[in-house]
Amino acid sequence: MSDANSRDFLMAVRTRLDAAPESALLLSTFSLLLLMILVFSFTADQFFTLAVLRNVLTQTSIYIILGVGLTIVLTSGEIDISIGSIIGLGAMVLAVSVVNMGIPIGFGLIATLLVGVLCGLMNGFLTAVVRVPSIIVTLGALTFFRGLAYLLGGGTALVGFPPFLVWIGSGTVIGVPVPVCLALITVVLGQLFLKSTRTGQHIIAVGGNAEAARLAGINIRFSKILAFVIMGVLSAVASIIMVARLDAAQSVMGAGIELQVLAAVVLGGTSLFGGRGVILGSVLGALILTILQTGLLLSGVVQFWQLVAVGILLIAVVAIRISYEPSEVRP
Amino acid sequence: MDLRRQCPNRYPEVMLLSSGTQTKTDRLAPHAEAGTPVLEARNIHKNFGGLKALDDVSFHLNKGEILGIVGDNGAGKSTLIKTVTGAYRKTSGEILLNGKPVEVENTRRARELGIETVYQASGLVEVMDAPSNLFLGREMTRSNWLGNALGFINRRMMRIETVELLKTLNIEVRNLAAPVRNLSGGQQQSVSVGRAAYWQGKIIILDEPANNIGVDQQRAVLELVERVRDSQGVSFIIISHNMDHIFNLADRVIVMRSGRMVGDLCIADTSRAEVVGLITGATIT
Repeated sequence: MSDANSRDFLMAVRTRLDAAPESALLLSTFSLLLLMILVFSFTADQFFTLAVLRNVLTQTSIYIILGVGLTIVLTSGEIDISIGSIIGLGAMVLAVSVVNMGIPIGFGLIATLLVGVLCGLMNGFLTAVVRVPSIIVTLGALTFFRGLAYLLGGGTALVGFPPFLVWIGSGTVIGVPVPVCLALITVVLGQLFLKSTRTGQHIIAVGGNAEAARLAGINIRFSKILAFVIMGVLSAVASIIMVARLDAAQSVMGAGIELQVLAAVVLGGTSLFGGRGVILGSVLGALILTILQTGLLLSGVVQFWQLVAVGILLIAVVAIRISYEPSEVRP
Repeated sequence: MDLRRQCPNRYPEVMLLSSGTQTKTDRLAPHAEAGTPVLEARNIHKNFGGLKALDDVSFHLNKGEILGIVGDNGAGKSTLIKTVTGAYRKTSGEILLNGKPVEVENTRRARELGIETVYQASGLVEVMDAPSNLFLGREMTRSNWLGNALGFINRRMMRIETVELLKTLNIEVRNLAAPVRNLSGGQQQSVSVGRAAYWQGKIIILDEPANNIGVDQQRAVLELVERVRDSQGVSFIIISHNMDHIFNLADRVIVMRSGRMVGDLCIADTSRAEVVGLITGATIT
């Protein structure tokens, strides 16, 4: 009797979740996060200290900001693997303008954000108008932007930033670290944009079914270019935070970060094929990755094993998801 | 072999005028006499490079009429429709709406003119829910500054409108928050037809409305077409391979073969054999 009841209950839950795939994804990602915290609370002694928590959040904030951008780009049906290089270029523009040329920090920050806009415009234009596949465009942009960063700043670290920048890196607002505040703002704005505005809906539609979107009169080019520009700006924001935290800038900054951000976003349930972007999932995904690394470290696991663990986790999560929703698998 | 027959119009005053000219060899429908057709295409040519996809096709659609377009694969049915709806640019020819010449440059313009199209598969974004699809590209925004300046959509209003529409048209969709991918093929097609009706299309074009959906659901979609026609006076053009659907639903049928229109027949006085003969090019005795 109770067996039948619980089966009914499970069926009902399943039907609900089928009808709301994003909630289902969020639920599964959140469960994974909780499980991980539970495990590490046993294996790592200092896991639940305020200092660790604060450190984890600050560290994750960069991944969260980039994750929001990449979620939007993936939702539009494209990909951007040049974000690490945009960070490098942004850091160099900030350092050269503020440290070498003595431009006021405000203008330096604006210049950095503008560079992000330009990088996004370039990626978006080549993808949406020239119609080169975005994986190729941003692969090219990956070395192109990095090359520009080295040309601009050379190979050495640039130091000597004004106090305001240092505050962005290590200051707090009512006890919350500034990078965490920036990440929070990004998540709220990103979520509102993607789910609650016409333009956001158009990006989802373009990634979900470009032909249907076109026939409905949606401007596909604009939607895709906008997604890349948002990604560019958020990369610039991330570069500012990175420079601020280190109080130094280097051309190599951000190298390889795109793959970690991609891992976080995919963990969060965003589709690589477009049309489904789960921004809150990307936040959870980024938290999972940082907590996994911190937790293993505090549990005394050798760093090489951390890399192995992250890889296994990513593939396992995606494999389990695919087995639960066969309709998601596309050739 | 090329058959054009006049149809008695659904509207009596028109019927009086046109009944006198009913002959078998009438080359062009005398639109001036038969009341102004809501849509008329004259001498449409469409070339893809050297290929003549449409060769001097002329047809008209009367108010409240359901016009079937039949023909073999590659006969030019879809090309004809896409030319009329602005999805393709015609090479030459003229399109008239209610007797006035119009330029249909793109699909957006077609919709502004009241021509809505329901495509075989690609019309809906499968990952979005029914209200989002109903308002795709024409989302309702909030009436406050959030909506005006930032384009914040009004999900609640869109949902209310969707519920209302589905109730009016007797379309059953169980979960409005679910992505339309979770709906059956017939329900998806109904949402598409409902969308066209909601946006007050004066002319709704359906491209193979019954492809890939179950028999019961096919009937539901066809009944929906009749309901929309009867309640809102909409004119329909239906492309179909299915003779049963054409003969059950349409008032008139035009037959395409190799880019040419080879028949324009009233359903009431033709037979399946005759239509099939025109499609394949076999001789009729």
